[in-house]
Amino acid sequence: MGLSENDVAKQIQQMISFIKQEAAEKVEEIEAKAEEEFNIEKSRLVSQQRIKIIEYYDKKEKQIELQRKIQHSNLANASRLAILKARDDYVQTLKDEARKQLTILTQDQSKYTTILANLIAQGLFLLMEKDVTIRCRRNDTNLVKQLIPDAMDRYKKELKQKDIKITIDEKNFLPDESAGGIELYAMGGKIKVSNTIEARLSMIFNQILPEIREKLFGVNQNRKYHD
Amino acid sequence: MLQSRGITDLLAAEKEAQAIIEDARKRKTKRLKEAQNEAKTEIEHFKGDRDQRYKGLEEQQLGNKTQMTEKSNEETQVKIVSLKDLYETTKDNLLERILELVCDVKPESHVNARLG
Repeated sequence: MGLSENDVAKQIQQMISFIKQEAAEKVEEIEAKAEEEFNIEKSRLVSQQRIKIIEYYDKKEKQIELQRKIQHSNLANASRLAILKARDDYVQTLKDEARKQLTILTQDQSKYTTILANLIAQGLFLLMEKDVTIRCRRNDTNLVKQLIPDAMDRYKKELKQKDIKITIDEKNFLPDESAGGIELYAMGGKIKVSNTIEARLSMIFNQILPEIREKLFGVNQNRKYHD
Repeated sequence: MLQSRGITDLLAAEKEAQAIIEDARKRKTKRLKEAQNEAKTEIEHFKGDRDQRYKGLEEQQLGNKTQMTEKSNEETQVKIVSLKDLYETTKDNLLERILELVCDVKPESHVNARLG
């Protein structure tokens, strides 16, 4: 034929080499692609999960921060409340102390007499009633009896001649432990004027509370308006 | 005869070629699976780190809590104690004023009072 044995053999070898080479190239290609896809896939998976994990822990860490803030706020509140309560206790103590001192003071007969006389007159002026009953401490009964005539004169003079009748309540008395003073009743007990030392103390104490608080605790820095 | 031997060789070579290509493909699939596993390991490691970091913060916060509470209580106590001093110094003055006001009774008839 045209080709010798050698030529055929050579051609076959060439073809075999070609096949092998192609295969090798193909394998290289596949391997390169494999590596590439490996890296892409791995990165993708890692990133994806990373983001989720970061989100998760960021949230949790924010929670901690929130807890910290809440706790801080709670502590500040508790502290403020404790201090306010302590202040209030001192204000109360002051009032109690005042009451005690008043009780002692009213044992000074001359002072107490003046005060009582004024209290009675003041009560009468407030009531402006014809028929008044006075209630006092049991021990003050005699003193009050003595002061009534003067009080009546004072009343009549001030309001230009008005008849007035004053009785002392012999059935009900102010408690013995009270600091003193009187209660006045009119219209069968329907109108009442409480002119006891305790009542005066409460009223005056409440009126000057701003002053008391300022003197005890200093001027309030947080206060904006002072009128 | 020669032809058939040549063809056999060619076929063999072709077969072999297919085999190694097939093998390469199998290895590729395996490699991709490895990607999943390796990614998983890496991620778990990352998570572990993050978790530790978080736990650290958590403990810090907890430990802090008792400390902060104590500190706050101490400070409050100090302030309360100083209130006492203030009270003791000013109370006499205030008591004097209160007593003065209570005992100063001013009986007055009403501005518009007209009777009889």
